[in-house]
Amino acid sequence: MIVTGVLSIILPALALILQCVFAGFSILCIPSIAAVIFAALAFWKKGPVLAMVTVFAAFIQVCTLNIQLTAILGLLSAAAAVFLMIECEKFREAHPELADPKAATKQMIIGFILPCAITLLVMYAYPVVRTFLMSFFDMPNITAPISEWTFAGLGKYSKIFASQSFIRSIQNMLMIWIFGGVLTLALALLFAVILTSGIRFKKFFRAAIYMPNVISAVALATMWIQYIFNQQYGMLNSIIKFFNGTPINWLATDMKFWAMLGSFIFGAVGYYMLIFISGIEKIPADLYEAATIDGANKAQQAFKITFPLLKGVTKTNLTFWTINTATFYLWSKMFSPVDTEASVIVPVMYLYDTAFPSKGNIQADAGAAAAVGIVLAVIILAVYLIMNKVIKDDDIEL
Amino acid sequence: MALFHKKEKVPAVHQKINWRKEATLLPGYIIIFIWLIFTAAFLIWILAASFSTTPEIMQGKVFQFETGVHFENYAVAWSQQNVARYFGNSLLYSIAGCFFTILISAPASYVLSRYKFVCNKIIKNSLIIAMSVPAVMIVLPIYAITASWRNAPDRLIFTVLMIFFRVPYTTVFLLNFFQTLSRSYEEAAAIDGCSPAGTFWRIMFPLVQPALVTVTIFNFLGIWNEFFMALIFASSQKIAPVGVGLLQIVNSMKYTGQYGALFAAVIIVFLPTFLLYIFLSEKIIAGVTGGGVKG
Amino acid sequence: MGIAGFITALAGSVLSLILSFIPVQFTNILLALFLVFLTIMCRMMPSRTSLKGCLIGCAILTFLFRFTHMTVVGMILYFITLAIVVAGAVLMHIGNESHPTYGGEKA
Repeated sequence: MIVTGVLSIILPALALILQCVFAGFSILCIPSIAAVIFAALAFWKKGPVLAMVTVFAAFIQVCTLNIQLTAILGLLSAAAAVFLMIECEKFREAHPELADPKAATKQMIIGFILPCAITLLVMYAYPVVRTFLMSFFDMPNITAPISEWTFAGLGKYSKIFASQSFIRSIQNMLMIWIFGGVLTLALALLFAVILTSGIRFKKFFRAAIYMPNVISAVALATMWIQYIFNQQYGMLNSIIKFFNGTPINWLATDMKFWAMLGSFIFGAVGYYMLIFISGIEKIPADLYEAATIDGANKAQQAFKITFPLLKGVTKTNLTFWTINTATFYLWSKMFSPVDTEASVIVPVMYLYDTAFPSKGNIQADAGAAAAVGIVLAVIILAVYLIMNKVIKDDDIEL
Repeated sequence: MALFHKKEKVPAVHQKINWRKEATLLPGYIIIFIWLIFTAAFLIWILAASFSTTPEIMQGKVFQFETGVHFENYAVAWSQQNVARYFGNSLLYSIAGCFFTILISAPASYVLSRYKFVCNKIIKNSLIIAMSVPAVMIVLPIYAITASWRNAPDRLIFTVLMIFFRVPYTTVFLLNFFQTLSRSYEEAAAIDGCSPAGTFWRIMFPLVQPALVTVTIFNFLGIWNEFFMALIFASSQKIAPVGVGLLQIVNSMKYTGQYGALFAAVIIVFLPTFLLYIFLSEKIIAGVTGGGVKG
Repeated sequence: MGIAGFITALAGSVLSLILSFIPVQFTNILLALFLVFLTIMCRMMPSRTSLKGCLIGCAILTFLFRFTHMTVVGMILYFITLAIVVAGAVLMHIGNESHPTYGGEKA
C-alpha cells in the first residue's frame, strides 16, 4: 500500500518537474498536477474511485507531456496508480466497518458537481476576470503572459472612444437597437396577437414564422445577399421592375445598413413572437369573455387587456433584444465579408478587428479589444438594471 | 348569466366554421400569408437556383430549367468546394458537443436540484450569470489559453469549447425538470440497496428523457449554427464548421463564379437543421417558451 | 466468456500497438503498451471490476486524445481496434459476472 501510494504520487510529480524544467510550464502540465493531487487523496482516503481518477489523469499525461522521458514517467505513474487502486479496493474489503453510509452520497455530490464547477471556472470566471484586467493593460500580443503586461490605466478606454470606427460602431449599434427593436418587437407583437386571436392553422403559422431562427444564420444571410438584394436577378428588384421602377443597388454603401437590418429583423421576429405568445396565453380567458360581453371589440381588447398585461414579457423581450444587439456580429460580417465597412460596423466587429487584424499594417491591441468587451458588458448590465427599475413585474398575480 | 352564455357558445365554435368570426380575422390572415409567401418564395427560388446553371441564374430564368436539372451543382459543392469536410466537422462538433454536455450537465443539475450543500446557491447563480455572459467577454483569454496548446489536436479545442459553452444553459434548463420529479423514486431505490449514483443513472436520468431530448436539440442547433467562436478558434479550412465554411465559399465566389454550386452549398448547410425542425417543431417551440424564458 | 473477452481485448490492444508503428508514433506506442498491460491485469484478477473500468476508460481516452493525429483511414482503423478493446473488456466483465467464483479470489 505505502509503496504503491508513494510511487503513484512521486512519479507524476517527477514527470511534472522534468517537463517544467525542459519545456516550461504550460496547460499541458494540468493532467500531471491532477494526477499528483488525486493520488495523494486516494492514498489518504483509501478510495478506489479516487485511484481510478488518478489512473485516467496519469494516462492523459502520457498524451500531453511532449518529452519522451516524461511521457514514459507518466506511463509508469499510471501503472502505479492501477496497483494503488487494487490495494485500495482490497483495503476497503478488509475493513467494511470503515464504510460511512453518507460517504457514497458525498462522493456522488462532489463527483457530479466537479465537472460543472470546473467548466464555470475555466470557461467563465477566469476569462471574465482576465478580460477585465486586460482592458487596463498594454500588452505586446494577445497571448502574452501577465508578466509582460504594462499598466495603462484608462488609456485603452480613451483610445477606443477616440477611434472613429468605434464611435461609428456604437452609432450603428444604437440604430439597430432603436429602429430594429421597434420594428422587430412591433412585428412580433402583431403576429402574436393575430396568432392568438383564434386563427386557424395556428401551429403551422407559428412554426413557419419561427423557422429562420433554427436554420444556420450564415445560410440565411447568404440567401438574402445573393438573391433578394441582388441587383440583376434579385427578388426586390424583380418586383420593382414589374412595376416599371428603376432597380436599386441594395448593397451600395448608403443602403447596406438598412438591407442588413431588414434581413436581420426577418430572422429575429419569430423568437420574440414566441415569447409574446406565451405571455398572451397566460392571460386568463375570462377577462376577454367579460370584455366581449361588455361590448369591447378585438382592437379595444388588445389595447385595454393584452398590451397592459404584457409588461413583464416585454421586459424579457427588451432584455434579450439588448443582448442580441450588443453581441450583433454575424450579419455585419456577412454583409462586409472581407474588409470591414464603416456602414455596417458594430462593436463586436471592431473588437475582432482590433484583436485579430487581418491586414498586416495594423498592430493588434488586445487591451483595447478587452476594453470594447467590457464596454459592451456594462451596456448590457445597465440596460438590464434600468429595465428592472422602470418596468415592474406587476402582472404576476393574475 | 355570463356562465350560461359560455357553456352554450363554446361547443358551437368547434363544430363548424363560423364564417362571421373568420371574416373578422381576415386582416390577420392576410398579414400572415404575405409573410409566409415571401418566406416560401425565396426558399423555393434558392432551391430552384441550386439546380440551375450560372447563366440561367443571371438571366433570372431559374424556374424554366431550359438545360435540364443540374444535380452536378451539388457534386461540385460537396467535393470541390469542400462542403463535405465542413459538414463532417460540424457533425463531429455537434454530436460530441451534445453528448458530453449532457454528461457534464445532467449529473450536476440533479445534484443541484436535490441536495443541499455548501456552494449550491453560488453555483446555481453563477450558472445563470454565465448563461448571459456574452461570448466577447471570454474569447480573448480563452484564445490566450489555447494558443499555448496549438500543437494539440485542433478539432479537440473547438469541441471542448463548444461543450463548455453549452453547459450553463443545459444545466439550468434541466434544473426545473429534476425539481418536478417525486422523491419517492430515490427512497424506493435506497430501500432496494441502490447506491445514490446508481439511482441517478438507472432511474432519474431515464425519467427526464423528454427534457434531455429537447435540450439536446437546442444544443445541436446552437453548435451547428455557431459562428463567432468558430471564426476565432476553427477558421482554418481543415477544421472549419459549416458556417465559417460557407463564408469562405461566398468569399471565393468572386474567383470561381459558380452560383449554382453556391446555392447548392447553401441548401446543404440549411437542410439538416431544417429537416430537424420539420419533424420536431412542436418540441422546439415548447422548449423555447417553456425552458428558455426564465429570466 | 471470460477467456473470449480476454482474447478479444488482447487482440485489440496488440493491434493498436501494431498500428502505432506505422508510422512510428512514440506516444501511441506507450498508450498501446498500457492497454496491453491493463488487459493482462484484468485476466490475472478477473474479479476486479474496476480494472475493466480502467481498460474501457483508457481505450476511450486514447482515441479521444490521439485521433486527430492520424489520416482518415488510420483514424477508422484506430477506432475499430479500440472498440475491440472495449468489447473485450465488456465480455470479460460479463464472463466474470456469470461465474462469480471463476477467478477464485472472492471465494
